[in-house]
Amino acid sequence: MIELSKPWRQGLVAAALFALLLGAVVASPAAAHTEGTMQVASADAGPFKLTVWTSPDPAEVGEIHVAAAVVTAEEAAPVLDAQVVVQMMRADGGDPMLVGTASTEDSENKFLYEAVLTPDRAGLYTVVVEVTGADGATGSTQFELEVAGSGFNWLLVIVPLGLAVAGVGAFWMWRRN
Amino acid sequence: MLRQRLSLVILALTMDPVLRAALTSWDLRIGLLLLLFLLAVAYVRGWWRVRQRIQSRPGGRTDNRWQAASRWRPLAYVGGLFIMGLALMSPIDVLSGQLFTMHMVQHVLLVMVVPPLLLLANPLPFFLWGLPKRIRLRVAELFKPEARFRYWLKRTTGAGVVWMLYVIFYWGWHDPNAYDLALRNALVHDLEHITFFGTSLLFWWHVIGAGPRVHRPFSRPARFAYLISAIPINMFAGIAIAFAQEPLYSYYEAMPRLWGLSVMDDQRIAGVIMWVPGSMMYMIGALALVAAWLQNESTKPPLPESVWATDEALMAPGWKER
Repeated sequence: MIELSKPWRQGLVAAALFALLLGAVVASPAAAHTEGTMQVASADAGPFKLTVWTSPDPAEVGEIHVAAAVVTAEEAAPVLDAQVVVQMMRADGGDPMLVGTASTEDSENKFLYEAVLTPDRAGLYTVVVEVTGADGATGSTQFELEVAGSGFNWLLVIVPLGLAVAGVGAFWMWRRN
Repeated sequence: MLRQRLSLVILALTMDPVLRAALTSWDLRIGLLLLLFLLAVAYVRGWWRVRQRIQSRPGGRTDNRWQAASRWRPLAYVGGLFIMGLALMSPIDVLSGQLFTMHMVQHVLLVMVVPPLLLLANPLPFFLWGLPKRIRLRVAELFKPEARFRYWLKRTTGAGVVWMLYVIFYWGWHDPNAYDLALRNALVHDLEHITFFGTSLLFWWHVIGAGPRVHRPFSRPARFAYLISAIPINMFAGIAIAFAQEPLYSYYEAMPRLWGLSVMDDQRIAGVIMWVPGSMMYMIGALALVAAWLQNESTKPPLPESVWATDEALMAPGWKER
């Protein structure tokens, strides 16, 4: 068991805290704008116009966030009391369809409806967004989404590790001087 | 009366779904909250320690350093951090992707309100006093006259360089391609905010003269001129946006419109916000400089009567026989 002196222990704790803090600060803005990649812009959908985003980009097996802005076709005013359903099916018709209800409650931006779908296979999918207004009026739009296989995000390991190593190295040089 | 007004506000919030959605759109980021909290704690701790040390010395309260550690400084600093938090996590940030007006408010806060508030508090010395002694001494070594860091800081942050960087980033990011890219990509958006905030911090650093004082301090007229020189930069960009004949940023065309604001109306309001309140921030700074200048003149001791009461001086004030 290696015995570390008190200044070393304090330095290591400070470096680890600094790495965690920096990681949290760097990672949090990236997650801030959850709209993601715009797939459909102001598409006509009955009495509505729909703009749809997906994230992450590129889409991967696992969680996919679908965010939709619903506005009236005439004035482009936000529609906040609609029912929005997102369906995701393989383009070749292979797998069962994934269905999710999008809600403004699940979104940071309360003008957007957001749903989370979890495809477990890579491939080309057709995503359909259906809107039903409070008065029963309906509309929908669809687009194709290529879902890639799941890849491990090495940045999650490399960035904190690199920061911790840099912190320890800096502390070591400081102590040495 | 107050209760009636409050109930009216609450009623408006609950009745108008658009307003309710706007006010409840928050993006609270733990990392950022933690960083702002730690920055505030380090500063306030340092400020408190400095005050205690000055107070414990004989004649401490009459010392000039007592003035330097006055109570308004932590208020300005914490106020600056609070407004920064609002700009980056409140509905101002969340709706900035939807309304150009909101994005402009965010930029005005980050460029023209937060940096002067933080720098008026002269954060570096107090922040250092908030750190453990060994770390404080190490960091202070970076700013010694012979230190390489100080040398490079001085070389790369001269007033002319900073002014140029400020202009390049301020105008460059308002180019439609760059702006649209920032709206579509979160990391580019963050880079935009970091460069805006960083260059404006450097700009205001020269105006306010906060620590570390690595450059020769500006005279008051030079500070005034430097500050005023930012107004045309801001004004031209604001006028160009306010009077554009078509939407400059295509991203906003696909977004839901709020409160009946068309894309063009939103763009005009954003341009006017940049032009008028944006320029006003620099004007307020310039007026404060003039006021401080005049205040300084008025506290100078009067000339002795033997100087101003001579026949020559009374015939032509200011004239001296050589």
